[in-house]
Amino acid sequence: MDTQKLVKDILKQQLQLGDAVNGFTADTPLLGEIPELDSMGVVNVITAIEDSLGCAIEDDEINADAFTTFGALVAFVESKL
Amino acid sequence: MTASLNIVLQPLYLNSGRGRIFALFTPPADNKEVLLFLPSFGEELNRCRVMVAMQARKLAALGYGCLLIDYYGTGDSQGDFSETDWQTWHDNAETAYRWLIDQGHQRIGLWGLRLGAILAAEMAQYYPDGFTRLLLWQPVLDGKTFLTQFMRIRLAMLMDRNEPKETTQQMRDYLQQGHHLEVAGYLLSPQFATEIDSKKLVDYTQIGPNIPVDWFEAITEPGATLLPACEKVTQAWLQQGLKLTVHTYTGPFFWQLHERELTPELLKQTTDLLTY
Repeated sequence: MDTQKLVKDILKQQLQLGDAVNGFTADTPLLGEIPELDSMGVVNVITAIEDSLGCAIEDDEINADAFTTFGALVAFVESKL
Repeated sequence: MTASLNIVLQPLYLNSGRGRIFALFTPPADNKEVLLFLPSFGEELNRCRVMVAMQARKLAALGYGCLLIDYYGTGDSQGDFSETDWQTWHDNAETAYRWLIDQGHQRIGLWGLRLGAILAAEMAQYYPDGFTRLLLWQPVLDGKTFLTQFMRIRLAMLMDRNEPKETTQQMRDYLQQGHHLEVAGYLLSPQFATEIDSKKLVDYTQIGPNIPVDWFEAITEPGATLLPACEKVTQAWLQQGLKLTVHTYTGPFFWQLHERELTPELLKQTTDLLTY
């Protein structure tokens, strides 16, 4: 599973980010930097992860840490595989 | 193509149990079907308006009638969101159905969007032979999952404001105790939460083989397979003998997006389906 690609696709689809996503690296900041990543954005991304992986994400797994950077989000998704 | 832009959807009010509900109506040509549209929940209602109105006009250009309702306590209907619940939505759908019959329309189809798709399935099952078709746009599969995702908006907002976290379980407990729960400006009643939690699309297996069911489901890219949860429901329905066709489309998830975007493929596929 190409987790980076999956996360990029999710961000593109859920946040309508367009091709800017292609240039994301591990250090690219997300939460606080991307206006589209507001409460709704976070919820939609989490839902998309759940749907894509067929996993359940518990409430206590949802925290700001997973969304600080692109790398952090990829790591979070990988932990759910 | 441009004929559809000239079609006017007439606003009107229907008297439904608790109060007046707002609707937009365009009558059918001759003996063509009228589609009763059942909308989605919360902010999705607003986000979907443009797509729905566009589709209604395209269908009207083909001669179909459309009745687009706002549930009590939503949109332009009377009442507050805090006062509405599933039973009320069901009553609203029945009111609209009976109004169409009273108006002399005998061929009535159901068109449900997202959570409204579950209501549409419920209506189809409730009235065997009552409807000509069941059209489902991006149905919600499981009320509990849907409500948890809705409650997460509150969770994310608390996160935003650095306020103490609440779990969705705590939110459900709070509702159980009889309180309304505020999520993104919507006051969800305990009654409504309980009802939504109980709804599963897969349960409506008694819809029967006489009514064509057309399910439109978004996929992320052409050729992608249905997500497992969706596959489960469609398979269960097929096994129960429902006359189900699943149509997949790509395009923006219009029910989620802040910025209004059209999903032309869905409009085209739905219009093509109903062109004859």
